Amino acid sequence: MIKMNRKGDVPLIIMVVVTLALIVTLIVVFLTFKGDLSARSSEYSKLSSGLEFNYQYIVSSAKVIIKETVNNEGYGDRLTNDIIKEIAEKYNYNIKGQGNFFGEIRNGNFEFDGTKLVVEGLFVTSEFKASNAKRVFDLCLEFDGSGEFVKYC
Amino acid sequence: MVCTLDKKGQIGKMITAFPVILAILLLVSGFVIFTEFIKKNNVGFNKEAATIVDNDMLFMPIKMKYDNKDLAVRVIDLVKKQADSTPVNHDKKYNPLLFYDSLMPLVHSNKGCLVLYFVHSGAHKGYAGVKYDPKFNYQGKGVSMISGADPSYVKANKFGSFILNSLNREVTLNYYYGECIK
Repeated sequence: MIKMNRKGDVPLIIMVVVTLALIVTLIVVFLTFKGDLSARSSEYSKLSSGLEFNYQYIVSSAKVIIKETVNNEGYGDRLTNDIIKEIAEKYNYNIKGQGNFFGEIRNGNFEFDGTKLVVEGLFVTSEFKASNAKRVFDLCLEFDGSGEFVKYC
Repeated sequence: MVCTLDKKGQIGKMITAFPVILAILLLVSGFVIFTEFIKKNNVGFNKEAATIVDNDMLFMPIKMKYDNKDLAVRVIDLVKKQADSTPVNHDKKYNPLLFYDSLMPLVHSNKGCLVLYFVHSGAHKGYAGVKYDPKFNYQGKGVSMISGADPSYVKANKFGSFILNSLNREVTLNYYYGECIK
């Protein structure tokens, strides 16, 4: 009968124990994984929808303001920039996350040469639960002589 | 020189290899089962959860009669007027019923459903909503008043929303425009 050297058994035993421990750990990890990815996906979706809505609101309002300014119904001979400021206030609905567009217009931080509106350093925000997002952009829109939007510049 | 392994040594090697192979098998099968589970349950990319609401409808120009004039306004302008008009009508030139009539062409042109409901905060807290469904015939107009959110649309997680300031109170508008949901 050949007897094995006991010292030679130790690494073998350690290897078996470590492997079994790894297997048990893996099984526990697989069984207990509950990645709530769906809720996160919904959260990101709401955030980006909010940002997109606020951005569209700003762009759409800018178009309407310029169209009304160019058509100039009832604003007389006042300066174009003053007319823009007054009309902008009419379309300022204080929508949550609308950012600084109406503030920039109110403070005269914009350029309008009759066909091109430029407002720089704008932002819109969006909040959902504990998350929030911000979109920073410059607005540059080109219009034709009747105040119809032509293209982004 | 040819070396032959002792038979007992081979058994020892097999005993050592067995748990390692078992671990690899478990890892691979676990990974396969897990990925199948993800695919089956759409975990990580739930189509409904990730739907980005189409906001275009709110910025579409629609025709309405206001102060005896035919105007082309955006849906959002009408929504603002509607929010300001309830519960107290501060603009006597604006008839809240225009809201429902003016939005009707949107439903008929798209043959889809339009669901809007306001949630008022503050003293006049409450819901007011409207659901347009081309199949639903209410006084021949395809519109029904709802006191809150339509449950099937809430369940489908399809609503977009925004909060506006109306007469110093917050009003949330929840909106959906698109394919009708049963």
